[in-house]
This record gives sequence, structure tokens and C-alpha cells, in this order.
Amino acid sequence: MFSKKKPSKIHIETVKMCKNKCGFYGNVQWQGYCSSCWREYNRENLKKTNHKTLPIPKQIVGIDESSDVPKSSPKTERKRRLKDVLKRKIDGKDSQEDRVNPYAQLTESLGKSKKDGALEILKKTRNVVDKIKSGITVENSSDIVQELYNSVAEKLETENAFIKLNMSERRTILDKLEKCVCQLTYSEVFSPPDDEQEDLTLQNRIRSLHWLNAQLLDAGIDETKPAASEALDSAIHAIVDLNSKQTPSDKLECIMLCSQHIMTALKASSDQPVSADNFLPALIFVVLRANPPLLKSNESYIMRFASPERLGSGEQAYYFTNLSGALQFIAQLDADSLSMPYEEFERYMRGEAIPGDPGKVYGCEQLRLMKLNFTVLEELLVGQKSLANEVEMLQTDMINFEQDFRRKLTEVIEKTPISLKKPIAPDAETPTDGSMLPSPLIPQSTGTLASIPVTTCFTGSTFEIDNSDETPSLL
Amino acid sequence: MANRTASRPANGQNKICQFKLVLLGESAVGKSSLVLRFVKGQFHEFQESTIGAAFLTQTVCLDDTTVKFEIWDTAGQERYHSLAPMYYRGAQAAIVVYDITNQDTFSRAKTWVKELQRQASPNIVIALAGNKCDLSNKRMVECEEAQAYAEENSLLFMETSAKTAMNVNDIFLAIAKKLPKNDGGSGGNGSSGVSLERTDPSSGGGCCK
Repeated sequence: MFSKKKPSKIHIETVKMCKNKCGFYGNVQWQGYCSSCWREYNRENLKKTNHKTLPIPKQIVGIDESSDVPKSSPKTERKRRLKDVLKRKIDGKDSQEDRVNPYAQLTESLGKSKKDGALEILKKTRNVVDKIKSGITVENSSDIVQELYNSVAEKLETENAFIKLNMSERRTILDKLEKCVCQLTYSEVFSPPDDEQEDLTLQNRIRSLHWLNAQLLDAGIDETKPAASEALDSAIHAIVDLNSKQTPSDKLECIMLCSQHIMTALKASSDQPVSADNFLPALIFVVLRANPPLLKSNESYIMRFASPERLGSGEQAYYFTNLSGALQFIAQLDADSLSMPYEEFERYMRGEAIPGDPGKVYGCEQLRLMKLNFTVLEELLVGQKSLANEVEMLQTDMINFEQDFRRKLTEVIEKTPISLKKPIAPDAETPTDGSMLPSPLIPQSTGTLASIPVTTCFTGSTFEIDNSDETPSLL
Repeated sequence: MANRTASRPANGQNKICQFKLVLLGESAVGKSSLVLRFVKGQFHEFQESTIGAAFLTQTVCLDDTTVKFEIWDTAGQERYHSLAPMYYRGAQAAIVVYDITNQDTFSRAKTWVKELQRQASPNIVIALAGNKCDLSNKRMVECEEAQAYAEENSLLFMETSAKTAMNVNDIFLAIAKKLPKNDGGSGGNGSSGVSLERTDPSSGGGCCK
């Protein structure tokens, strides 16, 4: 989009003020506007070219914000960059979906209802989205979004316009509504500064707890087992992925996926049935291991913007509660909660010592993997040897069998010598023209010829072994 | 959080009520085995949840109502005790489990009961289950003692065995009977069951998700 030589130009032209006379410096790269006026200008242009009131693709906003250097103080700039890096990843991933207007999806799900009812819902949704975009606090946004969910849910239940819809269609509408609102307002409401502060606190906390192992938490995960350690990796992957999803339902799906992998890891670790007694510790362990980005923000986001029945009951609610519990436990964790002496805990926290961990007897992950690979190689070697042995045995077996068979064959042949009589060869004399037949009804027929000699052959054949070429035709 | 009334096609004219039931008790007293026995035992069809084990659902039929239990298992270790309120928040029923061969688990159960009475929703139905009663030769907690305690605190009480299935279904049935099944539940603050009754008679068919 932009030319490659822009860096050289920026320095020369920056002295000019913004064309919009807003007081900030303009830039030739932005056609003489400052960054924010350029954004405005761009937005207008985009609207004109699209002829529709499509929301602006988030990618553009994201890039502009990161280049918005002159206005932000170094501290906020740093923060914004961190957020941008994480957010841009999201935009890149979901861009395909982003281009589909969320409103269109909502409208589509409303297809079966009457027009006025559907329009009202759309109007309400747009109002809420606009309100949030106008820059109200996150708490207020959460309130109006929840209000929207409730009022729409009530409308679907009570109003005449939606009488034709069945249960699952209503459910879909509510899902799409949630998706629509959340997608359109994500950049505004996700991770406000307060949450970001909490994220940093949590991240530091998790970092300082790096020494905690599965054993100390009662997690019951045996990392020496390949299946368990593999499932654990998948669980970590799933929970890190949480931050790349934009809607509460997608985020909750990530938590479910993570939980599922944890269950697999637990099942692979021991024969005992899996229960909450070891699931929660395992989840805490996974969170500590993964140290997922913006976890606290994600938790708050789900609590604020998920539709109420998602968190009220059901499986997703249960596993979300577990995650919240894990976060609370990590935040409050002290020597008591690990039932170890205070001094010991402090020593670990200061990094002066590291607790012994049967899962980590090899010092580092690579050594563990090496050891693991060695055992696998050894197993393979043993397997190969026994395979080679078996092949050898099979070979001798085959040779023996052949010799045996030959010996038996010669024995049998010796015992029962076969004397071959000279064939009488009746076929040779059998006339093929049907002259030996009793007077045929239709003498000129050739189609029946094939069957005719057979009957004649039978009358003249013997039971002696017959070497003649005609034998197959007898059978 | 206020639960929204959701409708779902019922198999007949029955009323369907959904309740959240939380499972408390020291680790290794057999909480999960108890639930697994209830859920997987020969008792209606087994509805597999996606992940299983820690979160399960099961339906029981009373005369004119179908009661759907949503069972939330909790970690029993002392160190996770402080997280319990997150789980029993909004629960309409709780089963506090102890092991009859271990006196400590019984005193732990008493703490749970006290906490529930103080902090959970005021109308919560609490049941006390003395599990592992197949091991009566190793019994450390007398049945009479627990019975007396339960009466004092107006709890449902049964000695159960997940191994032999003794009283397992009975305790869940007893809870189902005791739960308020009128639509609004009795007296607010989120303690009422979610009525899943079909509200719109014209919305036909549809399949259970």
C-alpha cells in the first residue's frame, strides 16, 4: 500500500503542520494530515467507496495506532505496542472472518422472524455498538451489553414476531448477537488499562513461581510418560490460544479444549479414575507452565461479555469456574497452601533453591527428551533383534518344510508308482459333425455342437487317467 | 447471576427442572466414584458430557417432573478449600461426602456443612453421605453419630457405597424430592432451579442439543 521509500521522506517533510489545522504535525505519507486526521479521512473514504456502512477493518486501525508515535507518552506507547503485537496476531488470523460483516451474520440468523422484529433487534445492536465505540467505560459497556442480551432473549420468548422460531434457532440468534457485538467492539473493550496492569502482575507472579512442579501441587501428571507429556503440551497450546479468539464463545471453547487435553494427560499418567481432585491442580500447573498472555484480561472479558446463560450453568461454566479458581489460587498461593515451611517457600521464591522433582531428574527438558529417546531407541533395537531372530527362524522353517515336503513326496511316489496307460483317446475319433448322433431334429444347427460331443464322450469314456488335450472339455 | 429461563421441548407434558448440585468432601472419600455410579449405573440413559469425570449430568424422573442434575465436582484437598465458594455459588443442592472408615473426613464434612449453611444460598438442600459403607469392618464413624448430627442440622443423611451401589440412587432421589420445583423456586437470590418448561406450545420439534 505505502511506497518503500517513505522513511527518507518522513524526515524532510515532518516540519509541516497537519492540513486539518489540529495543531499536530502532518506527514506527507498521510497526505499532509496528522495520524489521527488521516485516520478520519481514511474512514470517510472507505465509507464512500464501500457504499455500505461496513465497520472499518480492524487491521487498518491497528496499524495506525502503532504508528501513532508523537502523541503517546513512552509508557503508554510501550504498553500499546505490547497489546498491538498480540492484537495484530489476532487480526491476521481472523481477517478472513472479519471481512464478513458481523451484522450480516446476525441478519441471516434472524431470517425466519418477521421483518419489524428483526429490524428492531438490529437497530438495538447497532445502538449498543455505537455507544461502546463512543468511548464509555468497560463496566458501562458490560452493563449495556448484558442488558441487550436480556432484552433480546426476552423479545425472542415473548414477542409475536419470533413465534415461528424453534428453540435452537433462538439459541443461534443469541449466539450470533453475542458474536456480532463482541467482534465489533473487541478492540474497544478488551483489556482496558486496569486489566492490563493485572495481567502484568499475574505474569510476574507466574514467573516467580516457575519452580512449582506437578508434584507439589498434587497434580498427578507424570511427565515421564510420553502420552501425558504430549497431552500436556496440547493443553498449554490451547490455553495460549485463548488470547487469539475474539468472542466469549470461542474463548470458552479454548478452555474446554485445554481441559480435555488435561483430562487426557491425567488418564495417561495413572490408572486411577480422573476427578476434580487432580483436575484443578493439573489446570493450575498448566497455567503456570503456559503463562498465557493477557490471561486476566481474557477472564474479565468473558465475565463481562459472555451471554448470561453461558456462565450460569453447563459444562463451559464449570470449566471456566475452574480456570477462575486456578487464577485465584495462583494469586493467593503461599507456603501454607503448599503445606511447606515458610522459610523453604521463601527460598524457592528468591530463587536460591529448586525443589526436587521426580519429573525433572534430568535437569532440563532436552536431557529428559534425550533420555526418553534413548529408551525408545533401546526398545526399538530390542524389537529389531527379536524381529531378525524371527525372520531367521521363519527361514529355517521354510527350508525344513521344503525338504520335508520333498522327502515325503518321493516317499509317496516310491510307494505308489503310477503306471500310465496309453490313452484310448476317444476324442480323436469322435466325430464333431454330429453324424453319430441319433437323427437330429434340426440338422443344420451349429450352436448346440459344443454340448453334443460331451454326451457322446461320456458314453465312450473310461475312468483311466487321460493325458489327451481334450480332457478339460470332459469336465 | 440470574439464570434465564430457557425452554426446551419436553418428552411429554412433564415439567423439567434443572438443578446445580455441588460435591464437597475431603479428597479420596469417593466423591467422583459416587457420582460415576449414579450417572453410569443402570438408571436412565447415561448422558455423556464432553469431557466427563469432573462435570456430569444425570436426569431422574419424579411423578410429574423430570429433574436434571448438573453435578459439579470440587477438589477436596485442604489447600483448595478457599476456592470452594466459586463452585457452590448458585448451587441448589450439595452432597457433602465423608468416608466412614476415617474420622477426619467426618470432621471435615462438618466444616463443609457449617460453611454451606453460612455462605451458600439459603435454600440449598444439603445431603450428608457416609461413603464406603461396604467396608463396615473398618468403620470409624458410627452411623448413629452421623444420623444425630444430620438431624440436628436438618440434612438428608444416608450411608452409601459407590462400590455396591447401595443408597447411591436413593440419595439423589431424596434430594430431587426435597428440591423446590415450582417455577420461581422459593425466594429469590439465584437459589431457584432453572425451569426448562416449554413456554411456547407452538414451537414444535427441534432436537435436544
